[in-house]
Amino acid sequence: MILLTEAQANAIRGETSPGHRLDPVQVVEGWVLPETVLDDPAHALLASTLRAFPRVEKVSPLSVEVE
Amino acid sequence: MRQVTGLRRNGRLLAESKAIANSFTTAPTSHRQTLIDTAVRNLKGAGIWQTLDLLYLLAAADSQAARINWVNPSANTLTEVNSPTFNADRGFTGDGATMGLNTTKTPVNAQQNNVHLAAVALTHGTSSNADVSMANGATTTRCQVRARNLTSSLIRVSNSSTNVSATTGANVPVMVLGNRVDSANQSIYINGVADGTGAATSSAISGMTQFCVLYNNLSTPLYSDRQIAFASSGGALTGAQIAAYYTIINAYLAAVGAV
Repeated sequence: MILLTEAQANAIRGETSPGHRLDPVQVVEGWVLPETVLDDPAHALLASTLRAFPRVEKVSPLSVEVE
Repeated sequence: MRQVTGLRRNGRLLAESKAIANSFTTAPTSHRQTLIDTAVRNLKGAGIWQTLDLLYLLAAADSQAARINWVNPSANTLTEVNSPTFNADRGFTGDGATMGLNTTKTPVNAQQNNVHLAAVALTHGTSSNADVSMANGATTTRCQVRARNLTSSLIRVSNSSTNVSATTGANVPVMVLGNRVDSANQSIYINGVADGTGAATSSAISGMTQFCVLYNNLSTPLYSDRQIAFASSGGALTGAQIAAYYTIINAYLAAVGAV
């Protein structure tokens, strides 16, 4: 996972190309994106920015899954 | 219901089918165009097409075509959020944590006591969360379908807290449809067959404008990890229409190799 601060998440959230958007998800440790966004051509304009953020193996979700 | 197969009389495609094909950046093959036209004709013939607000055949040749709303190809194209994984002729798969697709749509044919929501899952996954949902982007989900996880399928239509699980269920690939025809009960259908009904007083869905695939767009979103090949929402369907819906969608998915 790519780990972001709230300010970083707010800065990159939104449409990156038609039909594609980034929307960082809040977790206990901050905000995250899947690393697959790094190789998605839809987000190419932000690729270098995204690659500069730290990565983590595991994060803790804010809520327990519910049915 | 009579199933239409093969080339159309006089080789003509319905205007609706042409509009779908024209919305694809990469034009469909003639075989795919025929499959699309057959599906649309059969949906119209069964009286299903007229009830739909949104219809996505995610098992498409490419991700752009997969995101097209067949009912109105110029509106409600799904947006990919955080790069869900696309597999040609299969659909989109989530990671259970961050990925999904969505559009903003105020329900039209779908009404509080006259609504369906449906999905086809190709994989079980492990997530307990919904595969298709109608929420308000804040705190409320009033319609959701969990096509299948390791144990069961469930639905919720037009209420905020009560789900109905499938009595018998089925393994993937599976089409799960939640249906409501009155204010008192909601029903779950598995592969076109009724498989459970539960009491749940209905609540308004007019504000449920977030239609999502692979997640539930709440203030804290909930994500699925399954592969979803089809999703739809609209007005309630009769038992016969639901059986026909399964036949039509399953035939399309089989023809493209998804099931």
